[in-house]
Amino acid sequence: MGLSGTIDTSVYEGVKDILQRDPRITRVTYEPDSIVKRFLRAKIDPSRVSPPTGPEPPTLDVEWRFTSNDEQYRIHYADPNTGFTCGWHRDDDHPALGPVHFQYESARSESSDHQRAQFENAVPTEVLWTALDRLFDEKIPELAQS
Amino acid sequence: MSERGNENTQSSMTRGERVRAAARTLRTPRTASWVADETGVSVKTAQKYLDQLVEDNVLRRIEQGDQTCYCVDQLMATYREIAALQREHDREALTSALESMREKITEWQVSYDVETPGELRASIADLDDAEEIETRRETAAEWEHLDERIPVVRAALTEYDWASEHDTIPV
Repeated sequence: MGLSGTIDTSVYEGVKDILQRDPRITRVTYEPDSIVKRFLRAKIDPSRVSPPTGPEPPTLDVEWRFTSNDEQYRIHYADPNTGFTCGWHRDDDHPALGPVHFQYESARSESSDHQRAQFENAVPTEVLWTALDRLFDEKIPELAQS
Repeated sequence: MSERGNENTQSSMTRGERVRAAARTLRTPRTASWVADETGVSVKTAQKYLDQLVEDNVLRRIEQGDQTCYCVDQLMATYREIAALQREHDREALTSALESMREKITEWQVSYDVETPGELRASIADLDDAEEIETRRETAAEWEHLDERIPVVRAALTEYDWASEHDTIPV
């Protein structure tokens, strides 16, 4: 399901700063372009992912939307080489799992799952930081080859 | 959760950079103590960088009761956004982007027979087809975003020549 709420492009400037500082990320662009600015897409160096992938660079899409008293977001990794995708979504898709859930899908084994997830912080930059570490240190090594 | 990994990445940023990045996302007024808690710095450190950002016109300081709060200065953020559009894109690119955004909206108005994204959202109530509901939700969200972007791009275009004249480097 798509996210609902307003996009605040000034928030994206702070979020972009975090992405650009990650040593595994090589380039960050606005999608569909730098005029419309709907979400951010980071290109990832395939040789810096564990286990390494390639030849195409995986992507990480980051979208944040704000409603009057809440927010929704999507931090989603996709590896075009293997078809593995995973990410954290704060939306109305799986209310039984709480406001935030982690989901993954592996094209190889046709396995997929949705799990309850939580971030201790509220500021988008800190949420993203934690997500990047969980993604590269835990989720990809555990799930990408399943 | 990987606390170890977290520390590794976070050590690549100084405390000031961490506060500055978080500060740019303060859409609702927050105290220095709240920011300090979120970013793992002392209140004094948070306060120092937040005050600097107020001086730099990135944040506004707001008194709420007996508390001092900070939030993004939306007017200044919009002006910076307009300046960035003028500096990064030529007039033709901005014009064609504006046209294509307007065309998209007109297409949605015609194909869904509604005038606003709110009306499109309301039309979902009469539907059963899950796929169609999803498409309309996504279209409404995209439409709302374009409604926000169009005035900014239009503002960048309106004063494009004036801005270009003032965007010169003295030789």
